[in-house]
Amino acid sequence: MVSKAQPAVSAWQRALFTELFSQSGAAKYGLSAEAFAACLAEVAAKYLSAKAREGEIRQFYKCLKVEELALTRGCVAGNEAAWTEFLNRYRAPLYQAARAIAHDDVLGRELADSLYADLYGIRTRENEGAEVRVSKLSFYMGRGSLEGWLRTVLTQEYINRYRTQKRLVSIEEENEQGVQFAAPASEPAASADPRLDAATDAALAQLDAEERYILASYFLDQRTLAQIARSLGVHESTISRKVERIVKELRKKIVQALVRGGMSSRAAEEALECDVRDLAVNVSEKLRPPPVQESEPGSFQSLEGED
Amino acid sequence: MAVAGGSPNPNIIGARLRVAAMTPPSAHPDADLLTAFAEHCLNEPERAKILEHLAQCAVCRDVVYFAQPEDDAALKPVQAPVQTHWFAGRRLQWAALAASLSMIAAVAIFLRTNPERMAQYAPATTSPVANKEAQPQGNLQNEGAGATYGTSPAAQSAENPEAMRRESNLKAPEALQKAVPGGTGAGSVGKLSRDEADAAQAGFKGAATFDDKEAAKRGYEFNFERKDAKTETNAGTAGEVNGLVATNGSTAGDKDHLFDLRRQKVQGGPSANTSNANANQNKIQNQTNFDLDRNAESYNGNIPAPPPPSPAAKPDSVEMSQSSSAPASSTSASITSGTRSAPVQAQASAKPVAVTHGVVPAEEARKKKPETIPAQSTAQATEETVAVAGQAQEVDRISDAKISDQSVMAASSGQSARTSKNLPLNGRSATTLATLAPGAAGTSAITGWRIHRGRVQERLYGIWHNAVVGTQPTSNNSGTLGGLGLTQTPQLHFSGVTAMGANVWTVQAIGRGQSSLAVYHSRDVGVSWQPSILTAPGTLNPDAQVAIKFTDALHGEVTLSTGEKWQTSDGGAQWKFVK
Repeated sequence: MVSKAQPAVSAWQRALFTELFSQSGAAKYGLSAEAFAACLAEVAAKYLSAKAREGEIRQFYKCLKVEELALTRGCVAGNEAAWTEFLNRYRAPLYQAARAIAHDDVLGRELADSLYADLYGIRTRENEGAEVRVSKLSFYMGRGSLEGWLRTVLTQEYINRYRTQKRLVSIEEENEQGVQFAAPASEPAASADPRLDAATDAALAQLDAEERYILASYFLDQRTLAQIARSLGVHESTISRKVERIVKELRKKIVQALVRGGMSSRAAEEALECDVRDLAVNVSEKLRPPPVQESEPGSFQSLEGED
Repeated sequence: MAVAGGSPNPNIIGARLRVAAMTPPSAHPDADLLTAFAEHCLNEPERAKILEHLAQCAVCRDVVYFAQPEDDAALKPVQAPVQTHWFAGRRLQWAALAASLSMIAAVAIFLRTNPERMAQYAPATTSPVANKEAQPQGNLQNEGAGATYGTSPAAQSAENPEAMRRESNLKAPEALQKAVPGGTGAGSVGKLSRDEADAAQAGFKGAATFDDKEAAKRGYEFNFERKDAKTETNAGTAGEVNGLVATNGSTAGDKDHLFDLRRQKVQGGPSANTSNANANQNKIQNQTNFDLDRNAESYNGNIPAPPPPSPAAKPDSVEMSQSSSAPASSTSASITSGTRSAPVQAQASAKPVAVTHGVVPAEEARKKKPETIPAQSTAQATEETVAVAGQAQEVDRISDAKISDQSVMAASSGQSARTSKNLPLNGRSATTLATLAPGAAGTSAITGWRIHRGRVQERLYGIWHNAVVGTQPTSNNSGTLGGLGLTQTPQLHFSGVTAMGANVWTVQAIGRGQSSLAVYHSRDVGVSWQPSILTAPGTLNPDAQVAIKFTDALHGEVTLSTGEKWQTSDGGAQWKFVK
């Protein structure tokens, strides 16, 4: 893949590209130095701002996985050696990651095979009058490891599949899951004090991105401390302490906001003890996709009676 | 994760977070960025952007979560921050070292400026006089029957003369209570500090008759009760302490000196000691090994009645000349410890005492298999003189007249209580006894001699003890040891030792530029030594090996690996250079 725009390359950049070209081993995949330099420039154009200084650019290039980037570019170009190397190196991890994601051997293998097709590029597009095979590997930019990138792509593919196939649940499966015994929708409860919602939103807005990420992962996604810690690269005890600290600060800020809103301290404390179901916001109902008609218990029974 | 009490309802937070997540961002970061985020390869601005997105986008959070490798192989190892110990700092280490050095210096200065302390804690090996002084001369009358000296099984201290010496300081705690002023003037007791004395008094107060376990237990308790708990206290006195009277105790007001029996005069001189040498040795063994007699009977006074005390053995008369032999069957309960070179002189008491000292070798005590040598002899008894609780019960079969020092044994055998029954072999190795030289088994519990790192050691019931090789050049003090007449050749190294009955010869190692050798001869199983000088025409080779052997009590020779040889035909009094 060759970038369309060729920005002006200074001498130090050219020397750096030459050094990275030798490091990457792109020559054995049939890539020329110019093609690899164009690839590097494309990556920099995507992630670096135009105002980036030389040091930042050097650091950026140094952090690239140039060897794996050269491999993917060789695969995109259809180099046999590159594909052989790719399959030898990543076939087993890819299947393993697919099985881990799908929690099923068959589904995992199916997921991995479908990704192989995308990686090879069964679709084509016209580029400058010629049919060009579109390979998913061309989107790899070398920011992270190729194996991690493949897992990420696998995960995205799996999530997309889950989303599209979630509605296609058989009646038998729903029956097994007890959909026919679903509890009737509860009446909307009386709304709590709206000042509590506003105070909570304001307190959450004051948190930084990492704190909100921790809270969302912990309270929304029900991730464990170890999982959050792994994603942030810290020890889980650190996450534990952070969660505790953040919640305490939130309480303090919410109480302060409620007091500022005219509520007494005692009333503010009592408001914090209210049940979340008393809140007017039914978030899960809004986030949940619209119910499928086939899954209605009544329709299920009617279908069963027809049988 | 437990949210601290008093925190807002987490459901509120989750609900509001869901509200915020209702409007997810339209553009998701590409797989490269998410991968780099999961692998922690992003720079800070990019990471902040990704975190901002992830805080709102549950889909991308799921992607990041699923994209993480299971084994974390691709990730950097996540480790808890290393918590360095506060004391791990280099400066603090130096500070600790400096503090330790200053502490040592302070202790050294204190000891130097306090000669009494220094004398008290002086090593036994370097000061023979101190050894002799430290010899527990606690001639205590045991007025009560069945006094039990159950000591702690920590018999290791038996090999520690210093510890034993300090133990001897507590050998008469009850003297504080009774304070029998029967101590002779010669017996100046009192090196125990006031703290120790008070503690000992408190510790022993109310102590009644215990069985062995209780005694041992109480002994440990007393150890803790002592203010100066540097040594293992004389747990043996945890027996019936009320029955013990420090005959040498001066007055109650002299309690500072009450417990220091090192200053007491020894009952009997060297000759007198040798008259009951075996008894002394056994007694020492009993003391040093910290008896842990499990035989309750033996502690309860089921011991043959000791012979009537010698009329000459008055509680006050601790002074004994060499000529006056001590009564071998002294019934005084000598709560002694100390080195082997300082034998205990049992003193006759006015009342018969039935006391038992169980002997437990240190190794066996550690194995919790204490063995006992009760006072009663058995029919299988071999010829031994067993010192039991201050009295020497010489087992019969003294017919072994091969003992070289007949006079010594005569003094011993004539006055000792001979009981030939119920003396078990338990606790003694019959094999070892059988292999002894003629005469040795009949008189001594010492079953071996050796040179260990230049020191003469004797084996008492399986435990090797350093023997203090000293000389008694004069008997100017009426022949009393008292303290005092013994001098030791300091820092001597020996290269050979041999024994023949009660006679022990040890030969000094050759020093540089030395043209003579010294052979020390003991006629009383190491109690007292007499040196003999072996002169050579030239300088001796310091690397030469020295060997000494005796064919009998009179004839022996000293040979060097370089060829020099000396012979004697009078038991080592005169040596003749042969070659």
